[in-house]
Amino acid sequence: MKLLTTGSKEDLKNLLFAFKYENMIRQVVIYFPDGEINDSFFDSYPILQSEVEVKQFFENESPIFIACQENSLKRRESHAMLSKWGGIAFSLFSSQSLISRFNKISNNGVIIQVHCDVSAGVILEEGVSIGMQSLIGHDVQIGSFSSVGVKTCLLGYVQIGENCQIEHGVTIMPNVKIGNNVFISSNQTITKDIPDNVEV
Amino acid sequence: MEILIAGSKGQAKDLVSGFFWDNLIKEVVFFDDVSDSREDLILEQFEIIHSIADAEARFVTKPNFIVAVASPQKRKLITEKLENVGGQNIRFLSPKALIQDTNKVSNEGVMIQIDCIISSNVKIEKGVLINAKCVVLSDVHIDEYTSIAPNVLIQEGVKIGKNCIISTGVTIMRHVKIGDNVKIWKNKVIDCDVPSGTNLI
Repeated sequence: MKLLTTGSKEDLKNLLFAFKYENMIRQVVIYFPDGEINDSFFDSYPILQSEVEVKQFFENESPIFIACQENSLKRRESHAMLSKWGGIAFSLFSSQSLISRFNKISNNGVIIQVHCDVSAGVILEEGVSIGMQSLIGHDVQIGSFSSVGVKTCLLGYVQIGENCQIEHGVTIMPNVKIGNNVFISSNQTITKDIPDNVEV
Repeated sequence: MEILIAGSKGQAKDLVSGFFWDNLIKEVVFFDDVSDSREDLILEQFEIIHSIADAEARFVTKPNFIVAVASPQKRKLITEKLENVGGQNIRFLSPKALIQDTNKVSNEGVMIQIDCIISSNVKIEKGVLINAKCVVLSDVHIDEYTSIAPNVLIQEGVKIGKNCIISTGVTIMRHVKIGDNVKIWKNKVIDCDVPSGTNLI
């Protein structure tokens, strides 16, 4: 399978690391619109820099893409842009994580990184990104384009709105509801509900 | 593969438990010439060598050794001592750890334990110890003989100097630079640069 990815340098490196364990993915092309990439790590990957090249890639080679920015708004932007240019978003469920069959996970741009545990009854909407070694408990709902960081722990019945940014090491206790556009900084334990547009 | 493990305390026992998933390692012998107890068997099955002369005799046919001591200074001293009598310092990367192939990981004395995640473009120098369940994200550089305890998160672009000790549960935030001989105690979040020789309690 051929596939196009886009994101910042650091996020791309973490995503390419997860691709190592996916046998389906044979060739990766990088779309990097902000200038030269200037990093020897990306020497072996073809790099596209303009809209025309991306449209040609979608038409001639493969329409599949993954946007891997950690920032949820940037991920939503590039997701919408690449879909408009004729791409189809792909969901990455790492073979190194344990994901229950009894849950509703969108096939549209969800990223689940290595060593995650995803329990049953979970609902993940489009564009949700979940970092390494995270634990998603039963019946958790996460709205579209929210980001969950590395080593986070979401316990049972937690509800998270759209465009939320949850940094690494956060623990959210059971039955807590979190609104839209919420930012939670690292290594905290959340025990109470959080309304929309709040930074914690 | 036959291995001599220098050390017989907790770190060495941790290392042996990591060997359980490795099919290449056939024979394990411990080496300890400092502790007072003169037991013959450790964990009821492994032999212990108590003198450097015996170790030298063993290195003629089976030169591989690995130093399982948590203290960076002691690890460096014992490595040099055993290299002087003909040993060859090897690395141990657990098959249960996820490590990107293109990373620059030194061949000498690096230990990476089970369930670690080492992302892309990471550089690890010789003698570095990374314990179980650590996550090291992209573009990180870890210098010689640094010890990292279990369950540590090191984020993108971090640089760590020589002979540092990082205790369990620590998080090091993006692009932070840590100097040489730094000691960071448990469960801290490091979000600014740390100069050499600091002891963060």
